Amino acid sequence: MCFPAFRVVMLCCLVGNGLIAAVRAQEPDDGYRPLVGQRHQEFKLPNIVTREKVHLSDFRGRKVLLIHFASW
Amino acid sequence: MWHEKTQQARESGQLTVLGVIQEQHSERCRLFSQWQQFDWPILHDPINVLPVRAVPIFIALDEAGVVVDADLHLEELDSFLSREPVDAAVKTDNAVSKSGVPKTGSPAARAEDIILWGQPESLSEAIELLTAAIKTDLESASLQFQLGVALRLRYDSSFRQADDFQRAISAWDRALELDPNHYIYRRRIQQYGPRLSKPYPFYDWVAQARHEVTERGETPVHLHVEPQGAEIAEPLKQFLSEQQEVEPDPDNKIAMDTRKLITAEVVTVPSRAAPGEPRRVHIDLRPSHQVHWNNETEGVQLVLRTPDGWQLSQTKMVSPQPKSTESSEPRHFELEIQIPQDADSRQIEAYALYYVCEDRGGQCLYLRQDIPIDIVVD
Repeated sequence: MCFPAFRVVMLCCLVGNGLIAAVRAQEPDDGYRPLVGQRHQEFKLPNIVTREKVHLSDFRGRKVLLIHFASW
Repeated sequence: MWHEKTQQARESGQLTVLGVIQEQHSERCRLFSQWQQFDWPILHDPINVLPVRAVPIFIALDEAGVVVDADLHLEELDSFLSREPVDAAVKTDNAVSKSGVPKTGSPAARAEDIILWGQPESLSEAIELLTAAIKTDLESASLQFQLGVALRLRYDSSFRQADDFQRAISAWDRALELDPNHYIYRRRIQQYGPRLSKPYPFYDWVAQARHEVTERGETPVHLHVEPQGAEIAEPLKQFLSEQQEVEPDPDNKIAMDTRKLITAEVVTVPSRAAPGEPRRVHIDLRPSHQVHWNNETEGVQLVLRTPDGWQLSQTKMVSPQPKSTESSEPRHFELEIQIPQDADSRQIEAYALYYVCEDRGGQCLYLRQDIPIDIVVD
């Protein structure tokens, strides 16, 4: 997504057919890496449709897949 | 693929998918989401509250919010979903927040709140707070980046101030200078920057998305800021050769717009560059409250003079005319300048020619405005 192949990846990894491994290989090592085994830091951000505050803890009690992406 | 693969688990309530985007303009992702028929919530983090440095990232959290996998692969999804549920109230250590997260109640935290939740009229306060915070923390890349976001937001609002866009670019340039491996920072500049440094056209999917959404019988999400110029242009591998054009007013005979009926704003991206590097120039022309464009004539012309040894992607540009006979929207031009290897800072001569009509009295005028472009070369 944030790399030369990102746009393709945006479509492919979320809705299409592949390229995930190719992009992952380009991720920098010093990026955002929440620690496995620890509770993810709490945050609140606006929903892009409603602009309402959404807390990560709102989803406590459910398995969550947190996807950081971009449409470009 | 993730969208399809997780569909059954989402529909059964087994899994919640939560998206987070880092883009400046959230409604563009709303359109993308509408196009792709994403039915899961997406959150907007334009200022990098979560210190994401690159995307995509897929993180699996269990029922207690504990990170199970910080780099989940698609083939690992079933394994994640089949894990035994855990007690949501289980006690566990919280992940340590990254340094740079503003303390509650601090000026930077107040600025963050304004940008995420406030109204456009409050952006000036956020910009002042961030500017002050930077003075006490000159090496903070995140503060510089957030300042750039706030400035660009104000630029896109009715509270726009002169130089907001250029100041945003300068702040993003500084953020990237301080943290050159931050890909989110880098992409924000590339979004508006020279085509030689573009990895891909960022928003060229918008037209297709609108078409397909409309074909489905839906109304596409309205974009507050229409992608244009560099944002939808294809990358280039080499600089465009100069197009020789006949100059329409070589002897400066057209009457000058001395009353500044049209305001010109020039932004260069990046704000500084080394010899031999390209620079993208954005020029906006905005009618004052006294006049409007006369669209029954030819469009606004922008003319540039190429200094010896320099290359310009265009030396004459004409803005397309809307269908209405008059209008008052900004007219936008973009071009690229290739700085010679041995060049110093200099000014590029440019001027615009336009037809405007006064709102009161209805007098129509054909005017010229000189628009010097200052190119700072390090």
